[in-house]
Amino acid sequence: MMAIDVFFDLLVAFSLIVLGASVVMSRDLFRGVVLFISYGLVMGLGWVRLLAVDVALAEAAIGAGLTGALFFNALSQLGEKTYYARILSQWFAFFSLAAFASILMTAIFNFPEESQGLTSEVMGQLKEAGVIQPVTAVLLNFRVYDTWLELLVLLTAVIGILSLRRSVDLAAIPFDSPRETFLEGIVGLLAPLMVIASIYLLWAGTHTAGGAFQAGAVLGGSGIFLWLSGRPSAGILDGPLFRILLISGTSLFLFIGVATLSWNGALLSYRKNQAGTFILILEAIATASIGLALVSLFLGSTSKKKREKG
Amino acid sequence: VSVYEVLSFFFTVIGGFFFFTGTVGLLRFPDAFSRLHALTKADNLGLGFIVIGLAIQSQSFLIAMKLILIWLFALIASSTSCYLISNRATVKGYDGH
Repeated sequence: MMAIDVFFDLLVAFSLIVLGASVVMSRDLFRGVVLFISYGLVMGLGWVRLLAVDVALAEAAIGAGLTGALFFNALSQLGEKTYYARILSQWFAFFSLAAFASILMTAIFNFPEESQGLTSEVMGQLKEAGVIQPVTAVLLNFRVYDTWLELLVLLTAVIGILSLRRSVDLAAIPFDSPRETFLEGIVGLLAPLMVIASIYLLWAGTHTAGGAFQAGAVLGGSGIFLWLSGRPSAGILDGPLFRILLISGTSLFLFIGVATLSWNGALLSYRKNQAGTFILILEAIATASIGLALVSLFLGSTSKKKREKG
Repeated sequence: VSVYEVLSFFFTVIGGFFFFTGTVGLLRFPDAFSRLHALTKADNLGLGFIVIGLAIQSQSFLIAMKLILIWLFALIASSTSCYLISNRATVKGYDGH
């Protein structure tokens, strides 16, 4: 049995290297994106083998699914580059990647020989955390600051994309009327199920793998499917409602931050009896916010050509 | 070795065989339509057999139902994407080579 495990792990590791190299070296960009999505899925498998199911879910949903969709969007809008512009951008990409890779390698060689990590600290404090799942405890209690900043990064990206389109909400972005009856029907069946799956992932985050980011990614995916099948999707949220939902995640972190600062004397530090409630509210609102932000990233970066047609 | 283990082994190996033939078809068939045919038909059947094998191995009704649900979703997804790819190929006048 052991030998099969080792063989499988080696197969995953080998596939990752081969896929990674093919993504970078692929001459055809479409093929490169398809390979990138495959890379994300195999990477998810690798995370499962490392017993990090949370990371695996996030990798498959965001790394492979949503990023792949965004890449296809970008691909459909790329114009022909001149020869020199292409050479220049390739050398630029090469040097920035090489610099980043050398930083990573330095970091790897500077790892302490024997490290216990922070597992024992997390497990020791888990009773105070309000949830029994250590990953959720770290993300929404011990290091809730990081999660807040991640939401801000997402929000900044959405604001950037909407600013470039000069639109305040998604309602201004036209959608293709349904052309594929078959696709329309399947999405009509799958989208409600995806919303249920998203709520399940949110709820699961308190005791097993799951959480706001995974749930938000599935929610965002359902929004993208709806739009692709010729429905307005998140575009039905008009101006104020759209903006309130979009900022609700980061605002709630701010609100709870200020509240805990005045009650408990430190920013975002919960008391034991508050922790469970705060985490649940934060996760639920963050899921809606993340889902909407991901849909906005996709819709906001769709081809402007469609505006002329529609 | 229990009878469940033998049955589970039997079904997963059959499933693996269908995946293998589907992959051979994907690599060897000449045009997009027959490749799609090989991939979706053989993989759906292969996944079905693997699901049966794993359901027997789990010996739990709940897990078996979840596995069958996964299979049904995979069927829906693969037949949808098969239709969309081949329809796109037809509309674009792509002869498949």
